[in-house]
Amino acid sequence: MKPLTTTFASSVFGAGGYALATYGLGPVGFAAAGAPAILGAAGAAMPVVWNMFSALPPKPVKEYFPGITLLFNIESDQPKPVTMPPWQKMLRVGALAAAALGAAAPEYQSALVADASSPVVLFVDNGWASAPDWDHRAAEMEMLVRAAGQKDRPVVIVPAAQKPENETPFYTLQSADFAQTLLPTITAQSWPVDYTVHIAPLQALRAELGAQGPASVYWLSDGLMPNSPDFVDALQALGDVQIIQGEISSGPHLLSLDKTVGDTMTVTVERPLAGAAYTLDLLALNENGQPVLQNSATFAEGDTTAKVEFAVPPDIRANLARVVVRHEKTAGATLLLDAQWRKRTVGVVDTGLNEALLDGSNFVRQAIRHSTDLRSGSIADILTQDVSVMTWTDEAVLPESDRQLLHAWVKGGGTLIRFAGPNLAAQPADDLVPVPLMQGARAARTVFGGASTGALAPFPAHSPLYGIDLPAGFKADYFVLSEPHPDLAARTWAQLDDGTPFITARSEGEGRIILVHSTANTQWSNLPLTGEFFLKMMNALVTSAQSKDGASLKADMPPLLTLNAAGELQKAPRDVKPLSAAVFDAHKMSAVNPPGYYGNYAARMAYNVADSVDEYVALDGRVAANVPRASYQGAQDGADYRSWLYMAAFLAMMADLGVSYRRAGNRGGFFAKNNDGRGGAGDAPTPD
Amino acid sequence: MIRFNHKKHPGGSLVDVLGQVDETYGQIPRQVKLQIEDLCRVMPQAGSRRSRRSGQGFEPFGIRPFIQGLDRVRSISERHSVRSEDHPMVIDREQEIKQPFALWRDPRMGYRSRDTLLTDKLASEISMLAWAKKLAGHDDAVSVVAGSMLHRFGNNMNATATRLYDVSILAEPTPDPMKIKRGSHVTLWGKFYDKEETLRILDSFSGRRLQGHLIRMLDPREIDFDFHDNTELVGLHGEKSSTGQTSKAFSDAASMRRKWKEVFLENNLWLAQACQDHGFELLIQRTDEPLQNSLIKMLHDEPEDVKARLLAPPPEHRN
Repeated sequence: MKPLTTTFASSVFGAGGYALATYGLGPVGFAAAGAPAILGAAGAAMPVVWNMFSALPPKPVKEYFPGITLLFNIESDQPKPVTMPPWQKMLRVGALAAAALGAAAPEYQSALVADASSPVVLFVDNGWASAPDWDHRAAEMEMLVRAAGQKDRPVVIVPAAQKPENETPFYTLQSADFAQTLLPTITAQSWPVDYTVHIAPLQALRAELGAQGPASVYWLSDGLMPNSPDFVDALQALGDVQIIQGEISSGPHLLSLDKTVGDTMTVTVERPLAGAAYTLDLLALNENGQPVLQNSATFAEGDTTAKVEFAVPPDIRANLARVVVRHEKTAGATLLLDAQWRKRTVGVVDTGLNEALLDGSNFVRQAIRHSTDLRSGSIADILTQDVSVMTWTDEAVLPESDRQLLHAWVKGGGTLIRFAGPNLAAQPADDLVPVPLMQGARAARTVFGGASTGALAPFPAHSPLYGIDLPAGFKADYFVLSEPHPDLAARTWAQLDDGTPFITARSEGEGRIILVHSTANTQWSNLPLTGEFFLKMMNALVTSAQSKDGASLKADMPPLLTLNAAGELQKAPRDVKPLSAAVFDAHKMSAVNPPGYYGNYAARMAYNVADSVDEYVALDGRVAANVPRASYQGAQDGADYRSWLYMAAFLAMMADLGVSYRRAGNRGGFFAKNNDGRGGAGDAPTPD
Repeated sequence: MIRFNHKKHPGGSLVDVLGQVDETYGQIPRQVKLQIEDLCRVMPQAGSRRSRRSGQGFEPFGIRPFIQGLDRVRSISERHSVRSEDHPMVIDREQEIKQPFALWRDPRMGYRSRDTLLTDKLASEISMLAWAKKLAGHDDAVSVVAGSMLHRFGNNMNATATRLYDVSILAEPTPDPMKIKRGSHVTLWGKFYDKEETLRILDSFSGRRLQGHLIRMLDPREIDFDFHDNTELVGLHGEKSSTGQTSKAFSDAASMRRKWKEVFLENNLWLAQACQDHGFELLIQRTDEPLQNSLIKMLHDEPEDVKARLLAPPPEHRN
């Protein structure tokens, strides 16, 4: 290339590079401070570099040749000018161009953020429902902040569910550069967003931004309906709002415990949007996180709720810890099961009979030993061990002091399961019975003119035994008979086929007294010999008892384990406070009371996301009907091409190096044992 | 590729490979051994060796079918042909007076281009081993002349009665004719580009009235010279010109190739003439051709048409 041509080409390429950096290439702009200078200089240098490569002859390919001695006196007839092959020049110039472009920091500039001087406000939903697509949301945040910085617009970032100690830098006008540093501190959380707490700060922000004109507001929504319609108004008061949200047609899902009847646990699965039908799997996990039960939930088309029933055998029930949606890692898709569902601590009043075979307490122990933690001993000893249920068979005759302790414990929330027998029949005037009793035992055939066969009648609906199959062959020969009482029907959980109460119960203070009107051994009936029925009956009675500590939030419960955004249990952070009844009842789950277990390991209460969600529906036309919406674009919009360009430059240089290396007479690559070519193709010469 | 422990055996590779024939032969890489064995299997099909020395032996050493073109009709044995019923048979007899052999290959080789599998040095060693086995008929008859020592291996006393020839392999950088028995047939494998050195060797052999064959091992690239433009060629062992030049660079390969072929042909013709003047016969062996080509020519004592050989197109069959 002639000098004049080179100068002209340098001018053209230099100007082209400068223009490229200044005006960008479509949506791609250049973020480096000196991008025009970098690309201008690189463009101007390219023709010069091309000429330089043309002027420098490449090194000849070095080869070994045995007949070299004959060659020394030979001269070729037509020596050719040696120049670098065009493709190699293009490779080198291309590497230079890629490196220069990389240094100019090209990036995709979003069209979302317009040119203006007013602030950009990002309201980011980072509650539990944001966890599934958090990466997209984070990329979108980064892209918006970067775009605001490119247009020199100040930024306000508001994470909707941030922890208290991190609130300071938010709700404040920041430079885009500083806002970038805040982004890593914003993460998905495990509790729902409470929009009501943001209304006042948004109004204060509006006053602060007043002089700077209407802001561009981006609500990175989780797609759920806010719990306050005023929130959207407060947001719109700041300026033009645009909602950016992800796909919610197939989740996130919210789990809640519907009911437990007998051995069946029903779990409700909710989705925010009534869409197409699909099925998902639910897993019930034990304390170790191992799945022990599985069932499928099917959403019918147009439904937002699905019910899943788990048939839970008593042995498994005792160890169930939580229910999760398979492959969905959110706090809402994790249902913690607490003491209401899990294994009870049950005290068995010692009869002093040394667990004789026909001792009633022995039958009771055998029936519930797999599904409960049993405690035995004196009343005083048992009551120190946080038991929630106490069984008392008729063989044990308690002194007055123990009866008083037991009574006080029942009033405090304990559940006493008592069995009748000759001792109780002899002294029916007892305050630890649910109904007044007649003196003496009654034979089934003598009651009401002998109409009873001693079999059980179907259980009433209010009974915890409702749903359990009646035992075949059960027969009660004797029992204690209750006095007539206005509440007798309500207090009766089981009765014989002639209407004689067989199991009665009443509340006493915070607790409950349950009486089985027959013996726990085979003296009055074959109840303990009914096998599966006796097991189910005892477990139903035990399960009906409230957890001693979890019966109600009488006192604040300290945090034990909390759920993170991925639905994993972790040690409660320091800033988590005890859970109070006021918070629980007000559905105010927050950073200070996140979902998790509260209480202690002996008696803990589950606090689930569903306990704090009043309405689980998608953001619809009821609010923000006129607000434009978009989906996440951050993944492509925020693309930074620097690494790709540097990689391309590096590969081009490596390719050129490899070619040059081979041209220098090397064979077999860099790592070959011999690369001098004398053996040809990597073979070593045979030395002597 | 055969690799040798030079610290353990300072005498060189041939001492290792051939000096301890019985035990070392088992250590040769399988691929090389197979090539040697293949070569040894091919050689008997070529018939018996013809010698320039007068006189014919009487010792029969084999009965084989008559080969048209190789055997004279009068050599057919009626008695054995009748017994075989199908084929006329001939008796291979010692066709010459017992003759010792000396073998040497130039150790300063080791070149292989991408067009062939064997280096010229390895091809020489394989040819020499096969030739030695063919001549000796028994490994014990192979001896190695290294320095001033003559190494014989195996039970020579018992083998002497049955073997046909004594084969000595010279394991030295340059062959010393003083260590070779008078009347030996000498076979030399090498490049022989250095005219002065080649003449010195030939002179020393002819001075002791030693005759034989000189086999020039050539890589196909030495004949075809298929280099590209902008190439710099250097020698394998730091060869220098009279002006101290160690490499030759050229930008136009086509022109250089034409020149090289002229010079190379001239050199071969000179070498053929020099061999003829000293009682030797020049044979050309390409490393991409079957190695038995040169051995069979040597066996039959056929002359080589060097010009035709070098100007012929590349062979289709390669190693």
